[in-house]
Amino acid sequence: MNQTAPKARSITRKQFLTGAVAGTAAVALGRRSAWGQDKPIKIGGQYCLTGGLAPFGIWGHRVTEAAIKKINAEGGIKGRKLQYVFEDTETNVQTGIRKMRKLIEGDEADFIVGSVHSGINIACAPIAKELNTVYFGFGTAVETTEAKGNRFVFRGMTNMRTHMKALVVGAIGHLGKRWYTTAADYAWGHSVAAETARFVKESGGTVVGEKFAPLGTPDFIPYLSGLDPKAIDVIVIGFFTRDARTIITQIHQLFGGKVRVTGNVGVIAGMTPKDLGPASEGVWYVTQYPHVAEHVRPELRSFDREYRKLVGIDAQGFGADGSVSTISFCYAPWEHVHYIKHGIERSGWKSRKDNPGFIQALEGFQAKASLDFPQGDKLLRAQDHQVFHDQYIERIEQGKIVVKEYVPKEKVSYEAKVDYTKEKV
Amino acid sequence: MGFLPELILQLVNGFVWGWILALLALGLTLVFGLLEVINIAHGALYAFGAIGTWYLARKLGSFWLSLLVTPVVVGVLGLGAYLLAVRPVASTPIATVIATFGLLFIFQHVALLIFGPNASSVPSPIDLDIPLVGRMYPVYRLFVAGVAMLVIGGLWLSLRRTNFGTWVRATQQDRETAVAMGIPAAKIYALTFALGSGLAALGGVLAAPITSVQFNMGIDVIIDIFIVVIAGGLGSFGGTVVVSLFLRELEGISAIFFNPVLSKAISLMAMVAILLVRKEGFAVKA
Repeated sequence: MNQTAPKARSITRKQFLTGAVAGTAAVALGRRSAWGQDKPIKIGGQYCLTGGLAPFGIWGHRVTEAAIKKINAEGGIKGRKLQYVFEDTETNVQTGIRKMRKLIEGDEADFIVGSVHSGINIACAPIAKELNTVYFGFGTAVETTEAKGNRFVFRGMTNMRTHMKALVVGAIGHLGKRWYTTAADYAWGHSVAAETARFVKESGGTVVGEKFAPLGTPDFIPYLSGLDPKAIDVIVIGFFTRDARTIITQIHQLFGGKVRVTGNVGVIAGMTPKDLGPASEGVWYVTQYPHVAEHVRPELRSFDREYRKLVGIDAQGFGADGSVSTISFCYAPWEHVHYIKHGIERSGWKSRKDNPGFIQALEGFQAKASLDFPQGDKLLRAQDHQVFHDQYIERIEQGKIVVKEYVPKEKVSYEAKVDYTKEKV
Repeated sequence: MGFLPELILQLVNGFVWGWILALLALGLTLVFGLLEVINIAHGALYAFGAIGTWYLARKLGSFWLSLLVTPVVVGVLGLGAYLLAVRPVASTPIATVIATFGLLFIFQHVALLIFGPNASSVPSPIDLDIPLVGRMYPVYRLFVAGVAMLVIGGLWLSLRRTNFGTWVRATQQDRETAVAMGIPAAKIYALTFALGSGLAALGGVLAAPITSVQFNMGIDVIIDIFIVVIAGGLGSFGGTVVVSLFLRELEGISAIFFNPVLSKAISLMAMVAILLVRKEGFAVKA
């Protein structure tokens, strides 16, 4: 009987201890590569590469790649290189949720730079908290940095409240007092309508009506034909890309130039005035980043020039393949990667267990205009993690984009409705 | 705008869109009626029609060339897709759904690669608006209704008066007997699939100057197409045309009173009501 016992123990206690020590050391050192460098920081890109928001997602993805390349060329962040993994949300909330979990749990992404789809941002906010991962989205529905957000969610992009405030404050004097809103029937479109109504009323104007239509509506004439152009000064368009193009064209067909058209930059994103044809004439919109380089404020032009070169967008807003970029939205993914850089540098972040320090480092962070932040100076407000920066009001005149107003960030600020800093992380 | 003028405008506009929808739905119902294949990729073929028009309008400045060429090219593409992906699994209905679903993905991603993600538009080939009850109405839309009516009328006649039409109807009614009578059923199936694809593309060509062109635009119409095909009576030519016109007119009229989402819901409820009353839909067989 006793003969069998020593045979069963195929390794000695000494060998076991040696192995355990070696194994522990290997795990500890596993964070470093074979060349003695720290393990890369993984950035997860959650972008709408296909589906209706692909014009924004594809450029968001390209710009994120460019930002990571730039930071790695500079030596990484505190000596650690960045590694990029990405997934396509297909412009679908359920897919966006699944891909968020895959990026964090499967690919072990340390940070997520996320979608332009507000529905995806809102749905993924609780996941970010649950999985202890900081999440940057660039959808513009207000709720993402209000009731639907949490301490793990940041938005380095303007939202519909700041956008519509800038538009109304900057343009109501030009556009008239009677506003009518027609918008997409989902979170973002309702945000457009609600914020337009709020600021038009505050500015002494009237909202004479609102109408919501499903995304992908091929013909708006049934919903517009009953409008009386004499009773409306301006129609606010809460649609983007294909829908925006369709509705602007059909408003022009029905009313000619009798009614002005306005909206956020989504109405012209991914297009040129030439693409929109005669219907583009006189369209007003608010934008966070000028399409044309010469419209960028002089003090930012050197940063803009270098930034455009690195992301592959020319001075007229075209990509290297000749396609129209969605440059007005591109600064957010670029700057999101740089918020990560500055947050890590300021907090000494090493892994997700250091997220509390990282979050605190970005709360109230004042970014200075630079190549890291080419859009300009900005404040990432501590309470709601919403960024505030300057905006531009542009108009299409004789087929060309003209800057009509410049709205400083102080004018678009509003009181924070939440205070995430009180949330324990 | 008063009620009567708005009603007139909605009726005219619903009539135009009804015929475009009928054109699209007929392609699908022909394929289903004969092959019993639910072609999920039908919407993508509509998008190909619009994208082809955008391409030819941009490169050659000609919408009219596209009107002639694009439906034929997409028809040939549809034929290839049928031979490669659908026919090998045609005996298993669920496999044809999966095959055409796969085709949808492939077509959409090919469109994304070629066309890019941005939306674009095609200038109207008839740059003329006419006053209609106090609004300006594009003449091109009336032209579209005219072309759609001509094509659908021609198709109806060809199904009634030509050998091809007789063979299609015979194969649809009883394949075994048709084959025994020497009708080339395999060729009829392939040609019908190509014809259905061409009709979808023609719908896309005609719609391109009205709406905006984007790689995924087929998704917007496919649900309406399926609703029409089902409510019209699967495989029914007349039922498809009647329901297409009814659906678009109803949507237009309800838009006078309700918001777009509700008017869409009302029109869908009406389709459900049709199916509750007549389980076979309108079922006016061609």
